[in-house]
Amino acid sequence: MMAIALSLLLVCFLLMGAPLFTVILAAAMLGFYYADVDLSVIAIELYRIVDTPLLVALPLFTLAGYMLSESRASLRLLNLTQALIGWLPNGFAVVAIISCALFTAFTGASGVTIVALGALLLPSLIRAGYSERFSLGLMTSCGSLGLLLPPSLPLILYGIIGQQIIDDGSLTFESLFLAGATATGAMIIMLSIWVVWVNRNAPTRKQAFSGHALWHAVKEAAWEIPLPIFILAGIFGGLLTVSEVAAFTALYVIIVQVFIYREISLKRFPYIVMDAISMVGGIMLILGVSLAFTSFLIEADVPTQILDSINELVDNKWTFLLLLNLLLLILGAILDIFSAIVIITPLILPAALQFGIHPVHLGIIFLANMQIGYFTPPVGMNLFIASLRFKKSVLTLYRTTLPFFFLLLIALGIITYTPLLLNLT
Amino acid sequence: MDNTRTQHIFGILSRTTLLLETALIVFVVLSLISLTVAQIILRNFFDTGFLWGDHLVRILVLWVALLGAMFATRGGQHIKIDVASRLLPEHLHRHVERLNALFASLVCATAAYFSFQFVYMEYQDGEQAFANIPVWLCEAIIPFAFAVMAWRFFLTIFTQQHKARI
Repeated sequence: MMAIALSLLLVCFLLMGAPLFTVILAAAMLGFYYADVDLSVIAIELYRIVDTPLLVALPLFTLAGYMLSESRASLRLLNLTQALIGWLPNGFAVVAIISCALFTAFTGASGVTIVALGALLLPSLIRAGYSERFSLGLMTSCGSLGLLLPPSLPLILYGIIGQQIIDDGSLTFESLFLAGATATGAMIIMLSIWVVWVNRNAPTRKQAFSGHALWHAVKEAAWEIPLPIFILAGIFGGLLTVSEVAAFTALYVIIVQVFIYREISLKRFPYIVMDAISMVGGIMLILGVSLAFTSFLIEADVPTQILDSINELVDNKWTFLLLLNLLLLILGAILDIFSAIVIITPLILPAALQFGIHPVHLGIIFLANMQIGYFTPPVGMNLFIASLRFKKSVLTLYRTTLPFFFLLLIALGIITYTPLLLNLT
Repeated sequence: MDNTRTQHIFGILSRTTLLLETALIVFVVLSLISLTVAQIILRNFFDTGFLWGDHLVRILVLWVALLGAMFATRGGQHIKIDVASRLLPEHLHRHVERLNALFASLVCATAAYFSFQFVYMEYQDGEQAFANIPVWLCEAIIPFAFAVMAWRFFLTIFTQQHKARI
């Protein structure tokens, strides 16, 4: 009785906005207390962070992303894609899509794409002749595109947690990254076809291909172009582990931005480190206390009970996937993506395995749902960020993002229900 | 002690701890990067490496996580699910914030107390993690970070969140 009252109290604090990690920590401590386990177990559980070797990739990729978003890397990226494909009919809209995806992959989908790239792209799109409605919808909905593109943090975090739960070697970072890149590629292609088609009669400005402009853009971004190539080669080439690639990336980005481009002063550097580390520290602490909470849940046999009740409701893979999509779309609109990954993955992964869903496939479905959840009305986070950034009402943004929302729902359907990704896993 | 003087002392304390914290975090992060890169170079080109390097990297990750979380408490940047603030009237917000801070402070203090007991036990065992560094020293960040967070949440009960900066 007492235990139930206390649990309800915790839910109250959760909804009232108490820091998430304190709620999970309190739940874990209560659980251990009622199971007669000495509470110093909390420290032992937290110390398990030390036994998670890939975790080092999180702070290092985050730091690299923060450095890139503080520099003018977004401008160089934009100029480069513009010179490469901007001359195609309606190419500039495609440029915007691809730039958003690449930028988000490096910076994590924390709304920074809308804040940093949106300021550049939205006025340019409108100046190039696209309607305001189309441009707003494009920028708001593409703010989370690239969530599945390596080395994005959510993808790595899912891999780390998944590997804690299943250790039969079926969840590798290579296959996770490959599947993530494929899914993103499919979304980019679908979005591109659509934006070109829908603007076929729009009075958009044509731009001729210019070898000179391309050469200039390549020269400008010369130090950043090797970065994605190095990351891909490092991970898929099998020479380096993910954490080693992360360390090299962080070191390289620091050297390039501070000493070569000189866009971040040595004085500014500590501030960026603090911003990045306090963000990622908060996530890792949530991860740490969730490890503790999960081991309490396992001790209390909760995953088995969840599995049993799912089995009562659902009898095949397709129903399970459908319910999963619905649940995740709702969660994606309410919960912050990192907390969602940390809390939900341990609960649904065992069930998904039982229905014969590959852990890589589950991860991609999970994150694709979260990506759409970012701009799902009424509370998707990017809707509010875009509303602040572009000074438009949230209602306007609901309307403008609607076509993109349905298009990406179709993409989600393809990812979930067709064998597009199955051959990769 | 009069009010301005207290504020003055708080200001000095706040700046000092900020400086110390920044220096420590930047140092730990840079060590993390250089150590990992050094290990790769040593392994691939010289076929050698520090035996304890890998272990140290993992402990530094724990430190980065907890120091980062400690720092996030200064500015009230922890991830939260904020449903109530959209539903509750404006004048209740500050009270809800206080209640949350009290709750968070209590939780962190409890965690600090019990993890201190654990670290003290490890101290008495005297086991070594690597290269003469005792295990308890690597773990000491856990009770320390929780104690600091408990203190910072406690301050938030009385001052605005963004001013709890010691």
